[in-house]
Parts: sequence; structure tokens; C-alpha cells
Amino acid sequence: MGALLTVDDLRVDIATPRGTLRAVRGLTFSVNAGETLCIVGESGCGKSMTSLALMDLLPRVAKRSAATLNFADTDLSDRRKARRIRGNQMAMIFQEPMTALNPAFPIGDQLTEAYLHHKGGSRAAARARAVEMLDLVGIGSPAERLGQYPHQLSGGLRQRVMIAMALMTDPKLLIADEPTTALDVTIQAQILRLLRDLQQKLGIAVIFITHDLGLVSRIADRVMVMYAGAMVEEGTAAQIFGAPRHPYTQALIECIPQPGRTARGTPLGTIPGVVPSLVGQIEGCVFRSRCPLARRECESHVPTRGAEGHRWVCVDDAPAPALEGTTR
Amino acid sequence: MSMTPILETRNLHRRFRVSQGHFKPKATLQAVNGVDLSVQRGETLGIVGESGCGKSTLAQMLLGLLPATSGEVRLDGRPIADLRRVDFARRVQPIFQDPFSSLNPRKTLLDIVTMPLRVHAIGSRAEQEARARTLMDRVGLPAGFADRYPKELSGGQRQRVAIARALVMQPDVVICDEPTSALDASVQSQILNLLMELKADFGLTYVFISHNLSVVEHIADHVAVMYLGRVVEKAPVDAIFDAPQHPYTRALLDSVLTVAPDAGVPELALGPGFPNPLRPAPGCPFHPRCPRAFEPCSTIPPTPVPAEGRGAACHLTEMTPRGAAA
Ligand SMILES: Nc1ncnc2c1ncn2[C@@H]1O[C@H](COP(=O)(O)OP(=O)(O)OP(=O)(O)O)[C@@H](O)[C@H]1O
Ligand SMILES: Nc1ncnc2c1ncn2[C@@H]1O[C@H](COP(=O)(O)OP(=O)(O)OP(=O)(O)O)[C@@H](O)[C@H]1O
Ligand SMILES: [Mg+2]
Ligand SMILES: [Mg+2]
Repeated sequence: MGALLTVDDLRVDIATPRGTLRAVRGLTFSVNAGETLCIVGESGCGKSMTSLALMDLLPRVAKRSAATLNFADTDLSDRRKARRIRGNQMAMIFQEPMTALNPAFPIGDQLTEAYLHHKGGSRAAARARAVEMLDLVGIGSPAERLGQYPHQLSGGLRQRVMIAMALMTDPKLLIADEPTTALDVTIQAQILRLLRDLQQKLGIAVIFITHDLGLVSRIADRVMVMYAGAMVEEGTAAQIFGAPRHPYTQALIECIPQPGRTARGTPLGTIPGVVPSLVGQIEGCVFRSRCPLARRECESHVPTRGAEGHRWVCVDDAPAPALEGTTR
Repeated sequence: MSMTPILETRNLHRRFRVSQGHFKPKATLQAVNGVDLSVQRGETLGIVGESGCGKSTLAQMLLGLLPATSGEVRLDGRPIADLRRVDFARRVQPIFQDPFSSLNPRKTLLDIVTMPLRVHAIGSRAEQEARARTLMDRVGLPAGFADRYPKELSGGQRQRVAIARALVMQPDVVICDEPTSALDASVQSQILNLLMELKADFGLTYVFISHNLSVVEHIADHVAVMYLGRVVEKAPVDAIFDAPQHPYTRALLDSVLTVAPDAGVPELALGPGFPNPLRPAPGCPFHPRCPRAFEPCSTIPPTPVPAEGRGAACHLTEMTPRGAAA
């Protein structure tokens, strides 16, 4: 069975006064129908640029290139074909709802716009669908909410409006960029279960971008870890959390405050050093400037190790030292 | 305990009139519904609660940016309505939930972060820049970022600009609304460590609003739990996390997703409904979702938690005398 989405050597270059900022540096991955791929990585590593590139919604200054960009046997580099898929079979939940929603229009208009464009039908039918979707994501009195403007909604309500909007057209692939950061954990759990049910019922594939590693461990079929625009490790949730192989993945997992393990009020573990500048090439391993295990070989080309299921980019192939509670 | 709190609210309310569509009467939405809170200098008050329960509205009122419908906010015992705007802004700074809309798109990051110092004429031009650069460094935006513009940043980088701007003047109180929600675990730890250091060194006071309970557990001294515009439980951090009283607080703690591959998303023992601020339930606002609701809950509102006190606004805990072992 072929993958629903196939991405080979995806790159995003941004022209800046300081030179070309290479926000995404040759990503290769695929997503199957019904599958959840979680993307994690440091802030600024290119997660949002990756999703915007898939949707062909990059800012004007950014340029996309890829060897392959395929969605359900359609070549997404054909912009005309891609336009029919975007916002229809492929929908996105944006990271900052306040910037993605138009402040000048009531949310009802924004919910129905793409639906009317792709599915046609009457305005009344589109509004009925919008009410149904708002109800599904747990917004009470949905009909009343349709007339409200984005600034009249709380952060979490806006986020759920975005989720409802993405579900309007029954997409096959949902790209969700930090969709639950403004939700309390009980509602987050309800939304995650809703997504899971939809996935099982309709076979929707989900690319889920988040910083919440606990959440990732619970919902991911596969996890891709990014650093400085590149993939550093990919595997199943069990592999990434049970036996992480890349030093960045290991360090990141160590930073989470863990109830019962990190004493309240004490300093938390961090990764010393700063991310390298993304302008221009980075020779060798992208993480080497902060890696405790860095050595000479890391400055040259670094191999991708592992088998299909679990791969990581590192000079080391030896089993990783077991994660221990070093950051007490 | 008789010290004047640096920041307190008295019976604070905020209503919004909400259009329900053409030809229909406007509905009233009670976003904040009688909140009594107090924070001592050098303390961190964590606020958690359901989405849409009024946390950001409360934050706006604490910052004097939104007038209260009734009740008041006091700084050092004086109603903030009586304070001069500049004096107040010198002492109380915000970190907003939606950072992008609060950053001027035409200014460079260095301009944005030095702005508060210029407005309040603190230090020379060179000192202002030096201070701004130090803080930008501390939040993980090194020198290369100084000349960039907000739209050139990722979500988490913007959030860090907002944090640096709030801290640059060393205010007395910082109102943080979801300050680390867009940050990865390592940058988040870096920011939390910085906040804790500033608190230890200069006695900064924080109101820290977050949905991330592990973060609140780590950084807060006291925690208030809100539901539909009210504080439903308030206690020192240890009590909230080790012995939660209110069923909603328990549900929150049970829903925290710790790292546990294959464990899935927990099935909650909560009613299937979602809270609706446009039609709040009578009695206790949580009762439609509460697994332990019994007959007074649907008719009689529980007694609120007093400003200086602790405890839960819940009929269950009212039955057991306060202080008795549960
Ligand atoms: N318009 C732009 N001009 C220049 N650089 C940009 C622009 N937009 C983004 N960048 C840079 O590209 C990099 C990748 O940004 P992206 O938004 O994809 O990060 P991210 O992984 O989503 O981070 P976060 O977790 O903080 O949201 C960042 O380092 C950012 O500074
Ligand atoms: N300007 C406004 N006009 C009308 N209603 C408003 C306005 N601002 C807020 N509200 C409503 O008040 C309620 C509380 O909103 P608020 O933003 O304070 O919630 P919150 O606790 O911060 O939620 P979240 O965790 O989702 O950010 C929501 O139902 C919201 O729709
Ligand atoms: Mg992003
Ligand atoms: Mg809010």
C-alpha cells in the first residue's frame, strides 16, 4: 500500500538581508492513511515552515523545492492541482489562530468559506455544517458563536474554531501545528479522543506538531525529531521514548519537568549553548556545537543510521547510554 | 499573614454583551464572576483552569487594560484605577498569550525590547541596548536576532521577544499568560530558570497562567483553579498537587499526559459535555461534568473561597469540616 503523503528532500530557503536562511534542509518522510506522525524539535527548527511548504502557503520570501512531493498520487509541485487539494483533502490547523483568522469577519463566514469554495451547495447548508463542527469540538451554543469575531473568543475557543474549520471539508490529511496549546488538559483529552475516533472511522492521516512530549508519547504512531531544519531521528513512540539514539533527542527528553522526579522550584535541566545560525550551510552534524559527545568526525558528513523503522543521523552507532535521572 | 498583598482582587466581575445574530437580543457572558485573589510580594501565583474560563480576561483586568464591570484590583492596597498609568506600567508588565499581535511589525527586535526602557527613560541609550541584549541572550535570542523583525520569527521566538520585553525593566510584578506554551522543553526550562532566578534575586512577583500543570507545579507557590469565571479551588502548590479537593482539580491532574508510550489518552470520568459560558449551569457550574455531583449541586452554588483563605468551592468538601482528615 502506498503512502498518502510522500516527501523527498524538501527544502525551504528564505532570502534575508544576511543571506539565504535555510529553514528546512532536505527532509524525507512519508505518512500513511490513518497514521499519526508527530514532529517535535527545538523552537525555530523549521516545523511550521515544513507544514506551510506542504500546503504551499509559505510567505513570499520563502522558496520551496523538493525531489518528490506527492499526495494521494497527485504531484503537489503542480500548483494548479495542489490548489484543488489544499483546504479540501489536505487541511491545516495554524499555530497562531489570531494571525490565521481574519479579525474583520465573524467566524461563521470564515468557517464556511473553504467549504463553499470546494464543496459548493447552499450557504444555509454550509452554516449547518459549521454548527455541527463547532459542536463536535465542544463549543457550546455554536449557532450564537458563528456571529462572533475572533477577538471575542478565548485562546482555546479560537484554537477549536481552527480545528472545526480544518474538519469542515472531511480532509484525508490534517496538518495540525500546535493545535492544543491553549486548551486545558481535560478538553485537550476530549479533543484528542475525538481526533482518534475520526481517524479510525475515516482513515484520516494526521501530522501533529507539538512541544508536548507527553502528548506525543500518547498519540504518535511515529515521531520525527528535528533540529536546525533537519531530521535527526525518526521512529515509533516506543523507540523514541524508550531507546532514543540521537543525543539531541536524549537531551530534550531530559528537560521535561517530571512530577515526582524534579523537585519543585529547583533549576530545570537545559541544553547548554545556542542553535547554530541557519544562514548558509552547516557542515557536518547540525547538533555538534551543543553535543556533549561531539568529536572530530562530527565535522564531516554524518551518516543516517538504523533501519527503516528507526533511523537517526549520528556518527555513533553504539547503543545509547540508558537515560537516567541526572537532572535532579 | 497581615502583610498587604502586592496585588489583590476584590469581588472582581467582568461581563460581555454578545450578539446572537440579527434580530435577536444580546446575550450576557459572565467571563469573570466574582474573583477574590491575593498575591504576596515575591510569590508566584499559578492560575489554571478550563479553556474560556476567564483567565486572559482576568489578566487584562490585573493589567488595567480592561475595566472591571464591578469589583476592583489593588496594587499595594491601592485601587489601580487611582494610580497613574505610567507608574503602574513601570511596576506591572505583561507577557500576552498571543505574542504576535502584541509586537509592532515595523520595529526590529532590539527596538521592541528596549522600548519600555525608552518610554520610562531608564538609563542611557547604550545602557538600554546593553540591558536588552543581555535579556535577549538569556531567552535564547542571541546577537544575530537584534535586527530582525517579528514576522521573521517562529512562534516560540516571538514568545521569547515578549518575555524579554516584559523583564527588561525589572518590574515588580509580571502577569504571564501562557508564557511558555510555544517553547520546546529545553527553551522552556531555560525561561523558567530565568524567572526563578529573577524572583530569588530581586523578589519579582508572578501571576502565571498556564495549561501546563507540570510547569505550574514546578514554578508556583500558590495555585488558583478556575472554572467558568470563578475560582473553584485555591491552595499552596503542595496541597493542590498532593491532595486536590475539587473534583475539577482532580480531573485536571488525571488528564496530564506524562511520557508513557502506548498508554493512550486517558478516558476521563467526566460527563461528556463541554462547559458553555453562554449558558452556565445553575448551582455549581461544574456539576454537569462532575462525576461526584449530588443533589444540592444542581441548585445551590457552593460557597466561594475567600481571598486570603484556601480550600475548594464544592459541596462535597463543605460536608467534611475544614481541617478534618478527608
Ligand atoms: N519570514 C521569515 N524571514 C526570515 N526568517 C524566517 C521567516 N520565517 C521564519 N523564519 C526563520 O525560519 C526558522 C524556522 O521557522 P519555523 O516557524 O518553521 O520554526 P518552528 O519549528 O515552527 O518553531 P516554533 O516551535 O518556535 O514555532 C526560524 O529560525 C525562523 O527564525
Ligand atoms: N471582547 C470580548 N467580547 C465578548 N466575549 C469575550 C470577549 N473577550 C472574552 N470573551 C469571552 O469571555 C470568556 C473568557 O475568555 P478568556 O479569554 O478570558 O478565557 P481564558 O480563560 O483565557 O481561555 P483560554 O485558556 O482558552 O485562553 C470566553 O467565553 C470568551 O469568548
Ligand atoms: Mg512553529
Ligand atoms: Mg486565555
